[in-house]
Amino acid sequence: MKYVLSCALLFMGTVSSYGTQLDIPFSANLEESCTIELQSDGLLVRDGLDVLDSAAAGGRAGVATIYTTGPGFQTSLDTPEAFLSAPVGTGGVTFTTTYSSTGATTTPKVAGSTTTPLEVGASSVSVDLRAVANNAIFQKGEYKAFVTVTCE
Amino acid sequence: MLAAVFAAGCGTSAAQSMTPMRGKISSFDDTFSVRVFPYNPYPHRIRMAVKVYDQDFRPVAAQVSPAETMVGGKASRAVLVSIGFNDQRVRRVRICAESVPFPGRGTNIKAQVCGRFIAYRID
Repeated sequence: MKYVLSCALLFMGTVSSYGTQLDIPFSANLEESCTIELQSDGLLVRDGLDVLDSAAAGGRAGVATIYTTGPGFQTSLDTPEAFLSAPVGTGGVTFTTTYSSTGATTTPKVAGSTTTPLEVGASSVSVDLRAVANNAIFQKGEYKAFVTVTCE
Repeated sequence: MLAAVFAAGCGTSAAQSMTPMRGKISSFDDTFSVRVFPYNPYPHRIRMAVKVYDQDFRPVAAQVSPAETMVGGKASRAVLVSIGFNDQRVRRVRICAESVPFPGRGTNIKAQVCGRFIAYRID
């Protein structure tokens, strides 16, 4: 009987050693991409009669996160030339933009037209807008302007 | 109080990406074409426009189909861009996917994602 059991166990072991395995391959080929995600809006406040500035006390910078999956990308801002909407009678305005970055890309505050190379990963970009009325003051009312964040 | 909102919140048309971001094209024709895929990473749909610029961000005449479209949440949309060589043998262009804000929704920062492409005309 012991001989039979030993043979059976030996046979089972032999069978298991012939078990098959299959490796299923997984692969990915990701394209480089850049994604801009806006996190929060900005707020312009008066900084004198003829200036609106998001960097002034009580104002707020706009924040966007830029995600890059490869090297070679860069960012900059496109400064608006005019308000999208403003009270009737608003004259000419000179705009300036600045931005800084933290996260994957760290940049001190620079002019919006400055091109900054982006590191791979998530970079948080803080955007400020300043509007100066040309020989006038800003009247009461609602003002809106676009700042374009570019990744290329 | 005098204040102005100049940037967008996380509402509609707040972000996008695009693939491919780089490309080389060879064409036997007077025009070359690129198919790009703007992507909407948000769960809600957004409106996007695809525009073409030169190296200095000056607008370039191109046929873009569709030039402006709604893109569903977590989805991409194929956009075909055809550009003339304008008697040049090599043409460098930027093809940009831009968010299109909805009026009155406080979306006042525009996101612009641009791919760089170089096209060679083969005689």
